[in-house]
Amino acid sequence: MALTQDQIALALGTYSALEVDSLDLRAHGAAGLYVTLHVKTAGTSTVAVRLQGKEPFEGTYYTLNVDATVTVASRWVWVFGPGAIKQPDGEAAATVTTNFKQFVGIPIPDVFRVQLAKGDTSDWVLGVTVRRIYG
Amino acid sequence: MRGAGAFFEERQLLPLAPRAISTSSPLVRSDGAKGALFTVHVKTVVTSNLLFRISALEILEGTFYQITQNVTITAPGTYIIAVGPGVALQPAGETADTTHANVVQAVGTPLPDQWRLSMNKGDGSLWEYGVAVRLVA
Repeated sequence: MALTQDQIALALGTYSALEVDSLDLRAHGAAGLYVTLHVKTAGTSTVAVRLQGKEPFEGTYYTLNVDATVTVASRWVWVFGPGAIKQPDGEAAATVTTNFKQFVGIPIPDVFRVQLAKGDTSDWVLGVTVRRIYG
Repeated sequence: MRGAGAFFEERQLLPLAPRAISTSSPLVRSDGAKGALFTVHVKTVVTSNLLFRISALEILEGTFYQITQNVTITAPGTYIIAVGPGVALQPAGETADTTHANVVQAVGTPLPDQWRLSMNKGDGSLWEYGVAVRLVA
């Protein structure tokens, strides 16, 4: 069954650890993912959103995207999936706002998690949602 | 046939196991999928290398032809290969590759209807690895 609505991956709260992991999530047939990082209060240093797949042999996690960091409070977006592009053909520049941090053009894994990678252990108040995108 | 939005769960094409010789997966039907995400999990290596490739089946005579360039693996790790229209290491508008180094190949062709993957060993040493695939509608 397709799951098309936003799902909370990390509830709005205060996070201080260097790495914060969501629970395991399933693609449920989706090809892509629209990830929103809502930073209500920024700490010091940086935070990045990593999408990590879970390989089915030993259950270890691997990272799919390079770190794209944010430093201030706002709503930040990561887009994953085939055909995700920042600058469509014919446009002279990116047509999305700077809220969009990163486009990653590969399908999402069947089992994955969101990992927050922080630059230090300062308190950040934030939350993460995911929306599955179907082909 | 399963169309867009079909639920394709990940499956193991080659279970994690020690192998000394080149090995191919069973024949796979795309079942309406356009693309796929392959996970090659290499637990132990010895000498030489391991080549990952995908070959399509033509149904007139039942022969296989290679459709992806070889991916050469020489060390333990988890390696990701993405196949399908629209896949990209550096999407338009990005100034650099946005994928992690775990993603070793992006191939922009649709999947053929029937195909298999081959893991070709460079020598007879015993490597332990497994391969899984997730079809993408």
